[in-house]
Amino acid sequence: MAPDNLDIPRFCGNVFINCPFDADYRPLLRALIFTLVDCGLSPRIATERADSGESRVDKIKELIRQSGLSVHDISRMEPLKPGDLPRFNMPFELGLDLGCREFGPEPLPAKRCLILETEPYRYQKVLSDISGNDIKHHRSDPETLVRCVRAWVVETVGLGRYNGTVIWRRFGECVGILAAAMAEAGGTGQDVEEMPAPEFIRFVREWKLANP
Amino acid sequence: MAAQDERRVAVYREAMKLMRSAGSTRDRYHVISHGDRWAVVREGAQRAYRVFDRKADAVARAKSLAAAARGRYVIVHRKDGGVEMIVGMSAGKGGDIVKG
Repeated sequence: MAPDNLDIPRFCGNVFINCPFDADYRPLLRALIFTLVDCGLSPRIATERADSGESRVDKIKELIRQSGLSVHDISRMEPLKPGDLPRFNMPFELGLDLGCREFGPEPLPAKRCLILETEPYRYQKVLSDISGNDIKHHRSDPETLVRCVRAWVVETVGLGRYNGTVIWRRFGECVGILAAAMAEAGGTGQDVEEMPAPEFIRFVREWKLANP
Repeated sequence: MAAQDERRVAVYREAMKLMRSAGSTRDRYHVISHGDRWAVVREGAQRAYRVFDRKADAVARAKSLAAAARGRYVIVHRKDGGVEMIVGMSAGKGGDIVKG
């Protein structure tokens, strides 16, 4: 029996994104968001709600529960600065998601996830438990990430009107229009680069409506 | 909200309005990475006009195509897909993104 308040049709199309939010990762995140929207899916991200009264982990758990699909990028586990501890958030949230699938009531066992890494077999040194899951390697290249994610969407849910090359070019058109519109509106390059992820998702959805 | 944040929110809203009214145009050209090479793509086309080994050559060809299309512009992308510059957009607004 499905949990209360779970919207099943939206559950099937929601994709929980678990990834770093630093500036270095931003090009990959944008390519990921665009690919999911262009494939007809709905990215869900922790920063979509800015309620400081809600704990981050509670937000994450709710997003995981509402999302039939998820993408976990564990390629940035290393410390931001030498001497710092590794970043554990991404593997932690991957664990929450896998646990939800394993132990949750229907339809949670139907959840599917994609794990992204930079290079093949690097994760095996530190996270061998996830061997056997669907893991793709983007080499820190957004164009490659687009192809990986598109392939997974086709394999997992059968969606995929456009091939990876076309999605990459459509991504270029979308961010190009964003930059041009921002320039017309008096924005700077920094405004374009620092557009928050929820705003970017809204923009991409608008663009997709006009460019199906 | 800090003044900088207010300004940025206003810019985003204005940009969204402009994007809705602009629609798509087939007279914008993009120079975008294609593996290790660079493609010139007319906006809305699924196939590239041509793929070049050198980015500079792709940019030059895109500029000549845009000039022939009378007044539209070229969007040059970085390797990560972001916008490096917009060439040929009318002067006035544009901040640091637009180049003449």
